[in-house]
Amino acid sequence: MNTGTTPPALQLSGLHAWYGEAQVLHGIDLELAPGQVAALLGRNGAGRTTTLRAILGLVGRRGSIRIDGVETSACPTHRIAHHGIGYCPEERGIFASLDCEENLLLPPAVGAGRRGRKGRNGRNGDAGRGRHDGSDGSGGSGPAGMSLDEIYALFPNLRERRASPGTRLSGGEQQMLAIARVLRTGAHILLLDEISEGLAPVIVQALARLIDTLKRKGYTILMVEQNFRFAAPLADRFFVMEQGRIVDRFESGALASRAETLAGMLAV
Amino acid sequence: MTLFGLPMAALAGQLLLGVVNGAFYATLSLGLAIIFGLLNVINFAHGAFFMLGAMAAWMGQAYLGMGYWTALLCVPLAVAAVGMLVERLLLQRLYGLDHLYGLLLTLGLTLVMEGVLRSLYGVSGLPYSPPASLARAVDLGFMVLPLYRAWVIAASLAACLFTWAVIEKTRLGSYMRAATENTPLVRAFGVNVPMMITLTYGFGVGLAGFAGVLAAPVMQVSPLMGQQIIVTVFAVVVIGGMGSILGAIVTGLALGLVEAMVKVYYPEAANTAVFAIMALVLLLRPAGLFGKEN
Repeated sequence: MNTGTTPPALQLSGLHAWYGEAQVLHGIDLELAPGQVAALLGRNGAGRTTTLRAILGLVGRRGSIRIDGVETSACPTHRIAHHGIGYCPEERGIFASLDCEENLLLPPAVGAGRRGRKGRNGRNGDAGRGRHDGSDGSGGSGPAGMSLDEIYALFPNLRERRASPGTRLSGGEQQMLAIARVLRTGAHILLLDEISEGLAPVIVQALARLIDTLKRKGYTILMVEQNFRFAAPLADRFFVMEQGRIVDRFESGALASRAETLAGMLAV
Repeated sequence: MTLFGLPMAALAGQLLLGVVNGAFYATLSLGLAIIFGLLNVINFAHGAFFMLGAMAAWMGQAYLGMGYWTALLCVPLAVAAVGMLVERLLLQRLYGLDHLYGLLLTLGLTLVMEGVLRSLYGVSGLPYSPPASLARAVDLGFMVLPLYRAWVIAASLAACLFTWAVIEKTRLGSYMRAATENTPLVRAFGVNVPMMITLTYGFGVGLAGFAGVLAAPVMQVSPLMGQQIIVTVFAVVVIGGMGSILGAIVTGLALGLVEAMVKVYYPEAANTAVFAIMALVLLLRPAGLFGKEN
């Protein structure tokens, strides 16, 4: 389609966003190369969650959002996921009226297959269609969607709890389920909102191992984190937000020298 | 043979009427419940779509010579199409606003539909006969069962069970249940929720149209038949609890029966019994018998 250079997996430029009348984001610029893991750091209310929601079109917004080089800011929300986005919301979004396995199977397959081959591939999760265990992926540079068996191998707890109502699961299990269900879809860009929040240390460690595994599988990940110690060893790039703007950005190599300023910035 | 001072056959006949009415209540309140669940709209026009189904069946017969079975298949689809148009052109603009706006719009639509048909056809009942194959009765020994009434009960219950199975057991149903809980997230996952909402509204009112065709041979086909039944159906929904599928079906049938019993033993209260129960339920369990307390 174009020259050999790979476009960024995710590129935000001049992104503004509003909740009703209140402006929350004031011109976000952010770029993630395919396979990179980035952490959005900042205090509560800095606009990190809103950044993720703006990418998905869940808030009013203006500016440019490019996914694998394709402008998606004009797409309706339900089309954006089909560019290969998997979203794990802060409140986890486990559905009470669905059992664990129904929750797992809910999101339609969105694997755009090969990165760079844009658009639709005839797979729009119109009501009633939607495909089953994301066994697709069609061998591009992005990771293929995992099958149900692969998911259960990675999250054995979910297999045991498959028939339980979604909200009867423990907090850790709900978080695992929230991540697992987007891995099934074939999404290659994951937006993870505060996945370590409120979980026991042993679960947080398991999540860190999981993110590391996903990183090695080639997923591009943008995670919102309050827990700097969780994000530090995982992310390649860090963006620090304050009052709806990105006020600092650096690579993981520069982490040590920034630790002190960051501690001050993130203190609640 | 008598039971509680009434001949068995008469009692059984009344109960049968009760179940027939209950089957209509169930089908209509089921449609209201799924529409409210997903669209958050109290669809006041539901009775008008029920009436439209019966009127369309009558018109099909009068003008096109359309038979009952063809009408039973085509009319619900046509009513659903009208409903989807209404959703796309009108209702869609009201999401995110207070319930009251949806209620007012659908009330207005009801008045328009009823008014137009009333000026064309008047208010006296139009005749519509059941299909010949069902226009007889069988003697069960303890009562005489008109076949068409048995068919109404069977067809309504089948439609209800089909709807329940789609919602509880299929992938489409899991989208619907999830979107009822958290619409933005289901959209963010890539499901075309706006399309699903249009189809749901179409299905809900199509179900009302289906009930209308079923009702044409047993009720007076008239532009006013919708408003007579819809008030009771709203009471059924309040008693059963908004948003519960099984609750709508069970409550609809049960109230049809209760109404019939009251009619037998204390006819003066027949029209108020359902509302007395509604008041009682609102006092004791405001979320309804099958609703979840919030």
